[in-house]
Amino acid sequence: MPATKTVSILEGNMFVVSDLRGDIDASPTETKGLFAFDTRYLSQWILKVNGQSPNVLSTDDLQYYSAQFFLVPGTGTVYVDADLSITRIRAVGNGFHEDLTVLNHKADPVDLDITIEAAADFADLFEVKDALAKKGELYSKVEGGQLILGYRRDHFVRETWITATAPEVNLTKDGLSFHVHIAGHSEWTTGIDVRIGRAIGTKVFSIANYRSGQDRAALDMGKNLDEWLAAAPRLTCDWDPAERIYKKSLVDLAALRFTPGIVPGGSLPAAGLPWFMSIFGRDSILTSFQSLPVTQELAETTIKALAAWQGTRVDDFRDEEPGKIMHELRYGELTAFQERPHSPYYGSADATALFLILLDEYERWSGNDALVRELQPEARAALNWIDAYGDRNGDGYVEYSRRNTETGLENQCWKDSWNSILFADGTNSKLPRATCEIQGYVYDAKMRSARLAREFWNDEKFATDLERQAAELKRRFNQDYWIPDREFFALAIDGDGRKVDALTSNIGHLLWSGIAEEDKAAACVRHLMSDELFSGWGVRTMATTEGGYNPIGYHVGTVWPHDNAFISWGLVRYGYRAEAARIAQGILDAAPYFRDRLPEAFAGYPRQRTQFPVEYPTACSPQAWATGAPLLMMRTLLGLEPTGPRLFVDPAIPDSIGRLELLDIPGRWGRIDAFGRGRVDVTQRTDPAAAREMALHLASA
Amino acid sequence: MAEDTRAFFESLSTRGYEPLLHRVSGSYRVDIDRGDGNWQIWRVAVDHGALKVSEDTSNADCIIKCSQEEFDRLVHGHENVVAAFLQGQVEVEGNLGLAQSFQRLVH
Repeated sequence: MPATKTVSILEGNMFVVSDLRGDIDASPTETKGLFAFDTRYLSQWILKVNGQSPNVLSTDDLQYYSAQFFLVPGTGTVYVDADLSITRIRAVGNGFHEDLTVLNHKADPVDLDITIEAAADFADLFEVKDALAKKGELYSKVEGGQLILGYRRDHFVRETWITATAPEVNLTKDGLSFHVHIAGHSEWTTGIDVRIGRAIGTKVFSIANYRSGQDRAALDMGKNLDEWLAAAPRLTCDWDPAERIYKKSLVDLAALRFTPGIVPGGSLPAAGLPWFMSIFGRDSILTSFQSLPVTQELAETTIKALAAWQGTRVDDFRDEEPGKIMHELRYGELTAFQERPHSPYYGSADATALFLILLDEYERWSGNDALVRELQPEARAALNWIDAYGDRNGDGYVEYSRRNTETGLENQCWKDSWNSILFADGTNSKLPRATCEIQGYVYDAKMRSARLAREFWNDEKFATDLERQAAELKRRFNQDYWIPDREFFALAIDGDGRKVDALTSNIGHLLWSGIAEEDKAAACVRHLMSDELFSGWGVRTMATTEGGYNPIGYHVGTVWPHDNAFISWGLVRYGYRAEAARIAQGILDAAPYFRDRLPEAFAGYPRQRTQFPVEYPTACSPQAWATGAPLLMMRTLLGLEPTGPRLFVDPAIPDSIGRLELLDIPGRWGRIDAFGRGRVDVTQRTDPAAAREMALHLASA
Repeated sequence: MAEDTRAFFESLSTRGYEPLLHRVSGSYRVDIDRGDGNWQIWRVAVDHGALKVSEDTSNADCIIKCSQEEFDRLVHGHENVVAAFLQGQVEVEGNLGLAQSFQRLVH
């Protein structure tokens, strides 16, 4: 696939991906287009002036919801006129609005033919991903002063409505054209609205009312973003990139916000652009968890939405079970016709425990005990799911094996590619699989739920039961998963009861959850910081020593920022502050190479070899839990821990980062400031030069 | 079938309380098109899970409209409310979040 530069603007689950000219010319398998509700509402949007595509002067996408394209007429075979310039200013919001302006810089008037070719293939995002053919009928018509592009399959109707404000507009089934006369030293402009619609009964409605003209949604979005940024804590740091990375995370998080219909007025993080602009159990939970020091609103909405979607029955097609927290919700054609199970799909073995973890952590930060009391039935149903359904064979561990064998997910842990749960020799394991980190999450979920039961549900017996179960799980886990000769925890126990013995980053999550015994944790820390797992930028998903290792394998060798954020936080839990700081510094060091936006994953090559981090080819960007990673890392470095009504601050900051301040951290305490000074040496190697530096550092300290 | 539909709403009335809707308050009106120009209309008022069923045509927070055939598919679990809504088989007016919760009444 050729790497073509694209510009993306987005708002909720609606986004426009174009080339640098602002054009959309999508092939069936690529992601350019106007997408909304998992459907491509425009697959072609090509501007021509006198039959030629303009050339790009520059493109500006400083705001996540808008972009500006500065163009000059294309030269083609005949030189047209360099004394014209063209701007397209586009803002997304319930479709998009585009202001197209042509400036005539000459004294003489000019006549131009301006056309925009428009077409829509109404592909479901799943179809774009898998290149599937359409089953219904596409149509195009001009009606009531608008161009309507449509698709119909039985009662399923989706339409794109296009209008222009300029009186010269000529609409045809293939697009818009304008015959314009521009006087010397003047300009011509038109607004263009592209609205999305769908059938409800016999009528087609715009999904939301889009206000056209100058007073449009973009202004509200700008205000909204300003308010969002103003409400977030302020970060200052001696190490310059930290402030930029933090700001980028906040803006991307704002862009990824998604308002689920089931929780009016609230917003939660969607999983990532472009493939995953939807609610995901695991992704929304982990991102909300990471974001707690910045905002507690995302966690609140995530909890409420996932509670409202909690599974209530056994449904093989959706991998649904009573009490289970969903994996993914989609709105496209394949979901509508039940050709995909995402209405919603429940194929996630960890989201239920993670839901409980987030509920407890959210209460610690926000003090919103009312929600914890209100959600007691949902929390109990989740706990019941763990024992009654999550543990399929009664061995005391949660394992997964999909009920939906056609379109369900094979791996229902975060490493969800089919070849991620491998033995040390690189061979694949058998289903059902009980991956280690899920057992850790269950341990943590039960310990945290015990607190909720005791403090808010007035059920001491339940609390004691949960603590007893958690202690028993911890004891057994440390026996059953431990690989004595290599001194780490198995990645999983597979369907044949074998220990899946590859060395992976999953052992870091065991520190986050607290299930590892102290001495075993110490051995895991040695592995995590070894050259085999730690690349210099971060902990690889799989160690270089393993048969399945591939530095550019999605879950078998790449470095994932979110994975590292949780590992780093886990190291703090066990008191390994220097190691935690070293991982945080490594990941943060990588961010400036990606314009301050951490990608979903990057290659596992050793840092010393490549000097710069190599991006994983098809990763999402921005991706929610990568966006959240720097926020959790700031928490790690400052050692932020809500304790009763207060926020406990215990910084351990790399000396290379220097002073770090996070001011106005919101929570049950109102607003509080946290700051610390870098005193932790994170030098990777004690080579002579570094040792000298360290000696100097110690002497001056 | 109309009798099944009546039986379904009567069973809701008998149930009186649906714990899965303990956080839900609002009213539904379900308009079922019987295909012969006749509509069967039911109203379900929910107050923190407590259900009150009536054959009442007054307005509601969430109005769900569909054919008899489609309603049968929902009640018998052959299709869920979300998929049916996305497909255009079920029309929703008013509170969409409430419509999603309706699935918990037909589970």
